[in-house]
Amino acid sequence: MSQKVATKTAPVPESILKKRATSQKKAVDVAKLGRAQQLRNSRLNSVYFKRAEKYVSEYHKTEREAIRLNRIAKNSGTFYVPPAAKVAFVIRIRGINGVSPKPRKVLKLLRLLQLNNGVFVKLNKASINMLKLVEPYVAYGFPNLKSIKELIYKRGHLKIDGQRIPLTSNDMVEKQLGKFGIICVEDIIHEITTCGKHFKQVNNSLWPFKLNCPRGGFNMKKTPFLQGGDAGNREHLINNLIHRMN
Amino acid sequence: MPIHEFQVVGRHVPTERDANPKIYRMRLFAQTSIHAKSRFWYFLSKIVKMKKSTGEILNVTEIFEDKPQKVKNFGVFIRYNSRSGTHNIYKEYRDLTRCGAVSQMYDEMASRHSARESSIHIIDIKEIAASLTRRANTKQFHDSKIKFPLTHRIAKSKSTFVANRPNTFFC
Repeated sequence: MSQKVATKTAPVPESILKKRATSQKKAVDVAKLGRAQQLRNSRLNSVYFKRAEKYVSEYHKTEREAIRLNRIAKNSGTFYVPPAAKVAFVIRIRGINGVSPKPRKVLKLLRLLQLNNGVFVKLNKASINMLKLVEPYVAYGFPNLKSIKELIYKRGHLKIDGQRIPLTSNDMVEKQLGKFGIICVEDIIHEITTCGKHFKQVNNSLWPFKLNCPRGGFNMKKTPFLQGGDAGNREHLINNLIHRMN
Repeated sequence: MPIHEFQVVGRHVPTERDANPKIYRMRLFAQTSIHAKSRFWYFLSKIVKMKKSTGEILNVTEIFEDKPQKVKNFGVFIRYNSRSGTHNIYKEYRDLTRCGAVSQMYDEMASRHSARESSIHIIDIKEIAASLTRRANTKQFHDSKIKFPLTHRIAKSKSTFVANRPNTFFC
């Protein structure tokens, strides 16, 4: 009798057996998926680095080309006119009170809803006219690569499902902009810097930048830049202002 | 903000009627190249039928003084709007650079004539030989034997501490 009991195992309910099998299968699936994800990540990593390297060499080439052409012009007694800037960075420097309807609408269209908000704007006839309308309320100019990089890496936020989400990984970039071939932050920077084909989509995905008050303070907010103030177009000197506000 | 001298070159945008428009050059004093461009169009629009939207800037370069270590006499011809009218003025300054002379001019016009930078047009500025200067204020320095009291001198000492307090007062 005792021998019989020892050899016989207790019966197990079928539901538990089923659950056990399902858990095991799921674990296998998860492991498989994890390995696939890991492989994908490592491949993507190399893609990221390749793209970044390509862009760096592109920027460098552009810079050297401008210098080369300048020297040729100088030596041959002619002029080299650098290409006009394609992108402007616009910072709102006046508060929300006392703005008349038309500039208010334009500022809204530019997504400059708060003091010290900044956005990139593609420059064309239409947007230049918009900027002229809001000139007393904004400071704008032509950012360089360093300013664009610092802004996006430090203060970049993406618009995801209508929410402002900090830009913390390349995955979220790919989710939002992968269909345009933009899969990492360097792609975003490249698109903004060169004003590429998908500038509109990229810029719209970026939330307006919230900047600090400038270190050292503003000069005279209500006065045009050319008369010693801060408002209006300051071309390449916007980089100094961005540096002080970032 | 300090004043710099710029050379700005610009012309009308080429059109069908005129494929090779005339090129204009201007030397200007301004704080930055951006201000220089703006003043270029301001002055050019008074001389030629041209403005920022119908023209293009070809080049902006800063001009530096040849010999900034040498004191020179500068004559500045300016036109300015006072409260009651417009006047032409000749002023003389001693300075190392043209930009320094222009800075002195702006300071003096602000203090003596209540004329701001925006109401002053610089017609010309040139270096003058000492014999050609006209103003007594400038002439008084033209003496090869001129001396000035230097009332405060700090003598160099090889040691960090000395037994007696050094004398820095002379005269």
